[in-house]
Amino acid sequence: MNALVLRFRRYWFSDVSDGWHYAVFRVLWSQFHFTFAIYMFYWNYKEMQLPPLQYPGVLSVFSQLSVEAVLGMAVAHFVLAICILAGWHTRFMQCAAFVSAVPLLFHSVSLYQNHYVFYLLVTLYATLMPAERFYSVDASRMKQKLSAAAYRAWKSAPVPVYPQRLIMLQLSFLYFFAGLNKLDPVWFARWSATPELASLATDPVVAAFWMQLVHTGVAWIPIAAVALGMLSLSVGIMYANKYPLIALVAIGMHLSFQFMLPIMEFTSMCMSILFLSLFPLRNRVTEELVAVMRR
Amino acid sequence: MKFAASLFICVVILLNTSLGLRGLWKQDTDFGSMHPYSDPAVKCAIYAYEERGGVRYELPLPHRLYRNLPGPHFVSRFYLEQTPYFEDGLTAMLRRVHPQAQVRLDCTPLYGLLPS
Repeated sequence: MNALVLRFRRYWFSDVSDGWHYAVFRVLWSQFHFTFAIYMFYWNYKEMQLPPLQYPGVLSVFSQLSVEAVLGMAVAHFVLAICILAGWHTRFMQCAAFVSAVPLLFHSVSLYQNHYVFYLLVTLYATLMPAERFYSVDASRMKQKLSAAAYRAWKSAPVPVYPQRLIMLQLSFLYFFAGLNKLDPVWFARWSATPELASLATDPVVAAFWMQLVHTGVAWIPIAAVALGMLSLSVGIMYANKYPLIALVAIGMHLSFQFMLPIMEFTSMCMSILFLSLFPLRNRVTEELVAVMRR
Repeated sequence: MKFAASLFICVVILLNTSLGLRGLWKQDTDFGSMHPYSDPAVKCAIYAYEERGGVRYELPLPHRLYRNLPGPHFVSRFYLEQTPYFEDGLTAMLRRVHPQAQVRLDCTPLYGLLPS
């Protein structure tokens, strides 16, 4: 039992070297703050004349907000995104972005988007990250404020690993249940034997190719490969820092989805998290690559 | 601090597990679960009409459909439980031009149907 607790502690509460990868993740993730703000502003403006469609239960309180207030919050969210990207009062702005995202997402059911629930959760975990030490206004201000030695110490102080683990765990859960879902016999039979997937495809070439697979009775092969791939990745991303090939396979899978289905910015969301999964560095190739990037 | 963080981690794990299992159990048609790894899909037909003197007259759909629904027949990736909300939205939009307009959205979840 004690050994289990120790392993839990070591896995979740060990420190990793400076927060460079958190800063890069902050920059990568800030694009979703922008797109979320634009999505919310665009649709709320477009549906201004329509009443908000209430969520059930406690979430219905967010529908009491007026459209003008929601539009204002979307603008504020956009401004917060700029601050996060620039790294100005980073931690506070990250918390504020999460707080403003909640009413924006739950204002109206008609604006529900499951990938933005994922965005909301990752944004929550990102508030725990010290992501201000690199590429930020905060870092420049600290440089002016502190002596050279104190600044170096501030910048290179170890950071906790658990915010990153939480984000990876969320992606791991996503892979696991999405993979398991696809192995459900009903789901599997439906998508591998009928042309519905082709009608969702945005690219006419992909849709035609998919129809061909359905007609020849082999559409189950890519479906099974994706399901098994996702199940493997749900465990595999925890080892991507040792074996970066796992992250590369995941990126390849997401890029192939990108060419097939209208999945908004889910691909780039996952790619940002897969970047995070390469840390703490335990592979010679990624160590060299990161050293080149940081030079 | 470590205790609070451990508690938070345990809550995240339990919540994700229960939502994921619930999504599997409900075959991803339950909007209430709202978990981020669901994969909902429905096949729908939109029917817009107006009743005058007890007779139903079919109405043309607005040029730009509500929420970018692609046309009167479509497959989309939303939850079955969202159907009434889309009906309300479409009705409100159509009533700008036809004050008595009614919209019916007939949807079936793709999961529940095996190919014949």
